[in-house]
Amino acid sequence: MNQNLSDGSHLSDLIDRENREIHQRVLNDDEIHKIEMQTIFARTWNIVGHLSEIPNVGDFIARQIGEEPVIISRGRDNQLNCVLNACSHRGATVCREDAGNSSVFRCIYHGWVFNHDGSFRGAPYQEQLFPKDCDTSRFSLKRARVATFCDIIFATWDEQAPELEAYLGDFAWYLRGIFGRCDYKVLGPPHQFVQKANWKTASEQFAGDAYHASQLHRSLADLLPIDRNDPARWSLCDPKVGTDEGHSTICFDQVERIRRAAKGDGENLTPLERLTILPPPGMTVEQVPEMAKRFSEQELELLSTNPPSQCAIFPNAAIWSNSAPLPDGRSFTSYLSLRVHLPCGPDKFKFMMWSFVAADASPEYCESVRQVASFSQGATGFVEMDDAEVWPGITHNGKGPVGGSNRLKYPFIGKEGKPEGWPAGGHVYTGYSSDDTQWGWWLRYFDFLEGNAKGYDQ
Amino acid sequence: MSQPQLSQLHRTLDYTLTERIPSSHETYCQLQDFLIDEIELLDGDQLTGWLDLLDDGIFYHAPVRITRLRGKGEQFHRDMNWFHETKPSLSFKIKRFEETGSAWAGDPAPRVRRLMTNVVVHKTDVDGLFQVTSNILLSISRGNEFTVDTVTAKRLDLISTETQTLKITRRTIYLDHTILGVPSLSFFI
Repeated sequence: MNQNLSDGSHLSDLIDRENREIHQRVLNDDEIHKIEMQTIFARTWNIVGHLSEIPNVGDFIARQIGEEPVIISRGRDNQLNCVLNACSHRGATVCREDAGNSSVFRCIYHGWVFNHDGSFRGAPYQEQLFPKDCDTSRFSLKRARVATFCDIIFATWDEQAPELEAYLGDFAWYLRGIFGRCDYKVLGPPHQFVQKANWKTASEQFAGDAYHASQLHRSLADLLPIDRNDPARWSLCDPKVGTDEGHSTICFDQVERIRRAAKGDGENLTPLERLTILPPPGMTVEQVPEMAKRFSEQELELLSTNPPSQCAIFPNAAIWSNSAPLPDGRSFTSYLSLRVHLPCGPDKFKFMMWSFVAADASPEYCESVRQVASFSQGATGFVEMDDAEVWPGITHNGKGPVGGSNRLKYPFIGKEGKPEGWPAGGHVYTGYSSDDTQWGWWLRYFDFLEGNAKGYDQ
Repeated sequence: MSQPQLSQLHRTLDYTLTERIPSSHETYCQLQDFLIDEIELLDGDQLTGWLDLLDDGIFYHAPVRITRLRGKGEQFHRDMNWFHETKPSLSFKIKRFEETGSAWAGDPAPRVRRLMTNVVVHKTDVDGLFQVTSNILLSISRGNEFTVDTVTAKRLDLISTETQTLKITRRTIYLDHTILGVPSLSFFI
């Protein structure tokens, strides 16, 4: 699909693969936005929720794929469904609430009724009004493919899209290394708030931008015990992994934290001992033995020293699994969240953020997670509110003819190679923080835009 | 269902309302003046001064809301809050705004105008503890943007008159929004 834009330029003009630069125009352009909706969001697997949000038969949640509304539900026989939230009859919105439990969905316009799987169930005056022998199978709500991975619900409109595991590719191991550590549940509904920015500003930042933390979040060094001048304390020395599928993770180093938590006695510990000293985000020490049953010794070695922590799942999802400071400025707890950046036109996106705890988490632990979700994360968080200060400017500055041709630069090249004993795949970059994983995100983005995405039939 | 089942959300609170205090009453005026002075401090960006109005044990929170059809259940969720703050966490955030010089979400400071109406005061069965509810509209102007953001809410405050100066011991903010239209809550409500 070699698409030209209406001003005569070509999509491939917007990326300079040799110098690793992207035209800022892609962050605020109506035409490119429309192409994205078609070539990316109608084709990729999109995160739409977590199984714990719909635990019972009949439960549903109303969500979005790209900009379009969908209903995710648990039908009879526990079957998962994802259907377009637009009536097959005259296009009205069928489900008009965020969540609930219902045996069917009834459109308010003419009263057509649908089963959870989208199939037509009936309509008012059906006998009198419908033609005899009317084939109602063509009246179904539009259905998306649904699949889960570690209880995270994904959906895609593309019948030809690869299976979810293939779509995740090498990243599947890292995703399981976070959401497969124990059985997680959401803690309440997601935070949802709107940014006056393009969805890609946040999505590509999550794909490995460790560099910004020491500067944009420099206020942390005034308030927390962080050495401003030590690059290691700003995640600038942590391994990063990028996969050919455009997903990525930074594996934050835990060894120093474990050493401090163990009061200096952090050497020669087994993975299980390390995990007991510093349970992974969302978990408490009681859940650690169960985690040990789910992974091999070699896997636990990585998960207890350099676990995947900040992740980007192409196109627009992110994970934050890390320690989090408490208000005394000295002690820390841990925090796990999943986010999606849902496009709302080229210059706005909806930020959704779920917080997670182990399914059997204690009330006290849940309370600490609520505290962190407010204190440092999301709209009220003293860390993330500063991220929201840069995304709108980047978007605004991409709109004009001059700013639009400004080139975003990804020049830092890392040292690729797996450290000994690394138990998983992907391109592993060690040494000082590089731009490789963010650049990998952009390569995947352009592959979709230009219709060359690996794993998809063209 | 403008404010559904507020009482249910507060079932864990150990107080009950005893009588409504009319607006002609001196206590009503005292409590309303207190909230007006509070707004003067917040609008004036005098955040450290604002902290002094809060009880050391304050719980300051804003439950997350979801859209439900009438009669289909609670809209406000007990499991997750926007704000979920204590005095130490509020102090930390205010210190960041006022002392670090790099709290970008608060610098340049959002220009917030708070308009309060419908102050309703109840006496409770706890000595010196009053429940005060109020409607609040915040107009937020950032930088050189020529449109303002608005946030509206009903606030449910517990205010103690036991101490020499009045103190807010609990504030619950029932936002009218399920999806917040502001990029961050870098200001207090």
